[in-house]
Amino acid sequence: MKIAISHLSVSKSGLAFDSRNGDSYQINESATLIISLLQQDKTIKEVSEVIAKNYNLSHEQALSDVLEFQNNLFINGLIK
Amino acid sequence: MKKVIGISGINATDNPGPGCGVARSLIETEKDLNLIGISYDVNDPGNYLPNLFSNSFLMPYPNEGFEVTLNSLQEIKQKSGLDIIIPCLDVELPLMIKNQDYLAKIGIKTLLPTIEQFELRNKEHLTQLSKEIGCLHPKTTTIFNISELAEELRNYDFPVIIKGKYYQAFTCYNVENAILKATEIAASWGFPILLQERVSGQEVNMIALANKEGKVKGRVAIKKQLTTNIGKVWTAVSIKDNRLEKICDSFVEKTKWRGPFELEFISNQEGVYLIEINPRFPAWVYFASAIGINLPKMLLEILENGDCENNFDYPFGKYMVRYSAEFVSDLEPFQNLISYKNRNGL
Repeated sequence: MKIAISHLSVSKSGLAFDSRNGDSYQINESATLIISLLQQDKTIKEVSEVIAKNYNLSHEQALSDVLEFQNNLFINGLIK
Repeated sequence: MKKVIGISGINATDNPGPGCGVARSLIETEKDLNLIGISYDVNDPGNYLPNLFSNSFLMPYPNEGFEVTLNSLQEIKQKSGLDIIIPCLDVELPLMIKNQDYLAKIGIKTLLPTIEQFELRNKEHLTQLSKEIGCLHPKTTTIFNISELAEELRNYDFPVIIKGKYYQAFTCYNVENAILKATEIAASWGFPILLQERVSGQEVNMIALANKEGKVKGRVAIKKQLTTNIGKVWTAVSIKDNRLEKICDSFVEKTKWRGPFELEFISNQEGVYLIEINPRFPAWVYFASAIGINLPKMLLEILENGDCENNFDYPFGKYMVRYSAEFVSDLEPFQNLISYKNRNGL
């Protein structure tokens, strides 16, 4: 599954800016990486594989974390 | 010979007019222009800014009628060679709009809507217009006297917004406060006033320009980050919201608008509420110019060449910060404005 997230831009300092409404969110390093991968058109599965490798997690744990983050994006109106 | 452009609304206080922003947009990109300030008050800061205006002229207040205004404009034309005027004050616009053909005859070009188009965006018509252009509008009642207000307030939850036809809006938390503010507004600007429900959400604005054929040529949207205590933007960030763009295009298509305008919205979970349409450039016009959408320059191109290129491409996430500054002038400009009605003493 791919997620449209082109309206978010993330600064080096980890501030995500929603270009549609001007809202800003301070996000951590792993969230920055997930958004960056989603913007490269990676699927959730592909993103979780990168997260698992970078943070030395099991694939199941990484997938769970990425899905939880995806849910947070949805709750905050950042994806539909 | 340099074109002479007259620009009004050159107050630049914490409730700034758009004139200095329009002038700055033009002077920073077009060297072959001669900008003059059109002012109604000797204390307007723009009167004392020679870096923007080569001269500044005092005009009689618009409520003295067009004949008085016309005489003054003709005198300004005689002294300065005025070619184009960009009116930036709500209160002068009806007069300029009604007489734009006459102004053209005496050699003063404008890019303004017709009076019919202008009336369509009046605050009391926004409920209907909002439906037609695909956005929401807060519940609003037009009020013609204070006893009517007291009666209508029974149908509203507090807080409510009390608005003047042209200027001023107050958030009121009880009946007494609403009546007091309505009385104050009516004393300054007369009736009708508007009673409106308060909608919560993010304040987002869009500036745009339409050509003579009623086509949008450029637009920029911002979110207000910080406002003054009367709601004027102090810091803002550029955004791109397809919904605002569609509403803007629908507004122009519906009204066949000509010239600059600003759409004021509140955005929340329910959608986009249209709060107000200002029939001129807003005070933050320079923000749009600084990020690549120079609408005053495009306006001049339309007046000089009949049309201009579309320009919709600007970066989102640019941050505008307004600031106040002090400068020191000789007393002579002030004396000249009082004595000769222009800064240079012509």
